[in-house]
Amino acid sequence: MSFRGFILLKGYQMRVQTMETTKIPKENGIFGLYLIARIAIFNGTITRAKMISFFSKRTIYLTVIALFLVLLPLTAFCQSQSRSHTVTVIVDPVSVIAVAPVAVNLDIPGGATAVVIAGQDEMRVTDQNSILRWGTNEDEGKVTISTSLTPQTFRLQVAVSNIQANPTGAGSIVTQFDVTDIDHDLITNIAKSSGHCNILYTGIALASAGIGTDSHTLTLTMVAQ
Amino acid sequence: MKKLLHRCLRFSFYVVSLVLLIYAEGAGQTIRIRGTRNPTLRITSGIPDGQLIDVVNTGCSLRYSTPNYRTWKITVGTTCMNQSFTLRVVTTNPQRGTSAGEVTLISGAQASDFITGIPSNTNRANATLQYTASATFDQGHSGDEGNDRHTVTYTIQRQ
Repeated sequence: MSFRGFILLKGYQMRVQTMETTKIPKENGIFGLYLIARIAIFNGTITRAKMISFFSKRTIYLTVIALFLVLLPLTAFCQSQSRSHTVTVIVDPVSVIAVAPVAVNLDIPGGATAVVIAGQDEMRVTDQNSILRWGTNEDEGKVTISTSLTPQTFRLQVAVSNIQANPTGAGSIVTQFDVTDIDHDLITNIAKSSGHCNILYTGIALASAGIGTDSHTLTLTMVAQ
Repeated sequence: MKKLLHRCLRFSFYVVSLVLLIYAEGAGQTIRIRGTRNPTLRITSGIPDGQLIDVVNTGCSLRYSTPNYRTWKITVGTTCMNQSFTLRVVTTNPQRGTSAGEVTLISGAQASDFITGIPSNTNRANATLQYTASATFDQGHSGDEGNDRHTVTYTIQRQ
């Protein structure tokens, strides 16, 4: 018989060890100890009061140890307190476009500054100071252009150059074309990006068309392709 | 029997002391989120050849208290499934403690200091939360990427 659980309580252990002739398998655990103690009481080795005291003491030790094992981690956990809430970020589809300056004059002057060439009917004047800027977070956008003026006395052509985008996806530019009241692609295949380019306007007049003024209101639109 | 009773009393004393210890450690510091419970920041416009315009929300605040010992701090962290856009938070006017500056909330990252040096005996101090949402054009939009739904957690703890 060997119950090492008695090491903590040496006094009682000594008494129980006098019961070596009592064969109680240690698989009986605490109940085995109880039986040994009962036999010890029967034999007068220990008193009933001491046995109760022993088991009470053992229960107290085990309870205190269990409490510490459970509550100490809880104590550490309670040293902080947290609160959470939900924050939602929504990004709408955004496509923006701007052009500057707001007005462009293409003058085909007469007199000393005339651009007319003797023997030619066609006169041209160009402006490339306009800048088109855009930004889009949608896939595959394009920019179109149209004019409010119809019919036109003179021709107005448009083209873009020096296209740059951030980070990439500047798109494709189309070749120079006449502006009409029907939307015409100016830049295509614009990826999610922001960027800018120069707009080249060319006014074309025929000497035979005489003099006058074409006042265009140009509309540039960024749409999904 | 009298001795047993005495031991039981002593045991009770230990248990009560332990409970008081837990109370002193755990119940002394508190933190609450006030104001707009779950704010939404919606980006709706941008600058051509620039970027989308940031959206700011200041509808929430923290209210925090500390017990009568030690110095405390507040940390902030977030979890967000498939985060696509940028969310930052800052407090510029904590009534107690010092703002640690603007924190960029990245899902799953370690919690960052938000307010430090909160002294003991702080009683219901306030700090306004200023959230800023930002995005770039190339990051797309919520229709493609989904909304960023952050669970932002503020923790008050010993410094």
